[in-house]
Amino acid sequence: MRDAEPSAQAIERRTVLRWLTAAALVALCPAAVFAAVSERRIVLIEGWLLTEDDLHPEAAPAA
Amino acid sequence: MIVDLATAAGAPVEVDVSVAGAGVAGTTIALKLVSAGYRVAIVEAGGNDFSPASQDFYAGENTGVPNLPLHETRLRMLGGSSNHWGGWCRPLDPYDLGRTDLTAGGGWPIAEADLAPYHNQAAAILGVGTRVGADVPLADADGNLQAIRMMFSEPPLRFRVQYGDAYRRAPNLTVFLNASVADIGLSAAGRVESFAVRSAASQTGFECRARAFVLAMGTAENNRMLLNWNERHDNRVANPDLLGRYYMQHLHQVLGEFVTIDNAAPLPPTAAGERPRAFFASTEKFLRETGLGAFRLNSAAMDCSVLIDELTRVASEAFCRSITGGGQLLITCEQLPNAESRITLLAETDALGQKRVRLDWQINDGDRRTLKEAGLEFGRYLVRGNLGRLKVNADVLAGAAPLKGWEVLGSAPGAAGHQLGGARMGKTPENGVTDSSCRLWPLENLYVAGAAVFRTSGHANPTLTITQLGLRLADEVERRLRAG
Repeated sequence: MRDAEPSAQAIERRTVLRWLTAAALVALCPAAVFAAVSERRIVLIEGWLLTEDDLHPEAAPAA
Repeated sequence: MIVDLATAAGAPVEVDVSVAGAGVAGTTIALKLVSAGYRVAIVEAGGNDFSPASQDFYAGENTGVPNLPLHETRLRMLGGSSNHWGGWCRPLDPYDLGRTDLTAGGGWPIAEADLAPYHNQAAAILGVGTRVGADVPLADADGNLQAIRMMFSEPPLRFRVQYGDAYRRAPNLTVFLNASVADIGLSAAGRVESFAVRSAASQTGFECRARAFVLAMGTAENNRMLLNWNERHDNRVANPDLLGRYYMQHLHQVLGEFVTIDNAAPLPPTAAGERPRAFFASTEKFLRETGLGAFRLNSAAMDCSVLIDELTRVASEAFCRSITGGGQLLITCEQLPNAESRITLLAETDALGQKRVRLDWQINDGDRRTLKEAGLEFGRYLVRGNLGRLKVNADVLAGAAPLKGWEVLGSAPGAAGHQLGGARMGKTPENGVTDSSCRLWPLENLYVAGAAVFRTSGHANPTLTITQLGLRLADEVERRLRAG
C-alpha cells in the first residue's frame, strides 16, 4: 500500500522552515541562499536528473 | 532526350553546360539552366535502375569511426539518392551560416540572405510546403531550447519519377546514362575544356565539351573524383591541403529515456513506423553560450514499465505515483568541423581506373560534449517545468568512443544519412576548396554542387540547402555565361 500524500499542513511547515532557514542564511551569504531558494537543486543519480524533493529518503545525491 | 551509353555509341558532344550526376543537385541545376535556354548535358554514371555493378564504383574502405559500407549509402542511378531519400527538410538556421566559432578560417562566405531567395523554389522542387513555420521558445527552457517545425516531402519525391518527362523531353537537354566522367580536359590557363566520358558497361566513351562544368555526384564521389584528378593534374584542380578534409555527418543517438509527470507532454513520443511531428532544438543563445554543435531532439514511444521500476529505486513513492508515461529521447546533431575527419584515396582502382575512396570519419570530444550537454539541458528543462524526469544513457554521460547506440536506430543510423564537407566553401583559396559560388578556387569554370561544399552542418537535413545552393549555383553559371 502506498504512503499517503503529505498533508497541506506538512507542506506549509516545510516551506516555512525553508524560508526561515533561508532568511537566516541570507545574512551570511545572500547569493548562495538566493540560488538555493529560487531554483530546484538538480542531482544526478544513476543517470537520472532529479530534484532533491524527488528522492527516496535513502537515495544519496551523487557527487 | 536520354541516351544510354550501355547500348548506344558515344560521339563528341558540345553544350553550354555539362553536369556530372542526375541526383537532386544535378537535376535542379540542369533544369534551371535548360529553362533559361542553355544547352545542357547531364552525364549520369548509373543507369535507369539500381544495379550492384554500378554501386560497386562507390565501394571503398572505412578506416575511422565504424560506418556503413560506402556503396550502400548513396545510389548511383538516374535520380541519384533521391531514390531512397526520407523526405525531411529544413533550411539551415541563420546562425548556422553566421557563426564563426566552429572552425579555423572563419565561417561560411555566404549568409542566410544569399539562400533565402531560393527557399520557396527549392521547396517546390522537392515537393514540400513553402513555409517552415515559426520556431517557438520553450517556456521553461531558460531560452536554451525551442520547439521547431520540420517540413516533409510526403511521400518522399523521387526525381527519377517526378522529373522523368523532363529528362526525356526538355528541349536542349540530353541525359547520358551509364556515363562516368573519367577525367577533365584542363587548359594551361586553368579552364576546363571537356569531360572525358566513359562507360564501363560498353567500354565506349566520348568527349563532352562545354563552357561550364558542374560536379553533382554526391559528397563522397565528388571528393573522390577531385582527389583523383588533383593527382593526375599536379594539384591544379583544388587546394591539396584542404581537399577531402572536414568531412562531417550528422550524429544520431539515443540520449536516454524520460518519464512524464501528470500527463504532461513535453515532447510527444512517436509510435514505431510513424514520422515524428514534434521537435525541440537548441537556440542561438544556447549555442553562443556553450559553443556546442546545433541539435534537435525528438522522442519515440517505448514501454516505460522497466524505466519506472528503475526510478522507484532512487525516487520517493509519492513522486513515482505522479509518473504517467514517457519516451525515448533521440538526438540529431551537428558534427563539429574537424580537419582530421577526411576522405582520401586507396591504391586500389575501380573498373575505369579511378582510385577508390577511403573514408577516415572522425568524431571528437566536442561532438561527445554536444551529445551529453544536449541531454542534460533537456533533463533540466523537464525539471524546471516539472514536466518529467530524464535518465541519460551511461554511454552519453561517459562520452563513450566510438559512440554507441546507433545500431538501435533502424532507419537512419548515425553513420548512414548525410555526407558533408571535403570541398568546403571558403572566403579565400587558403581556407576553402570552393568559393562562395561553389566554384573551385583554382579553376575558371568547374563548380561543385551538393553537400561537399558545406562548411558547417547545423542540425537540418541537408537536401533543402543542397537544392537552394544548386539554384544559386545555376544563377552564377548563367551570369558567367552571359558575361561571356
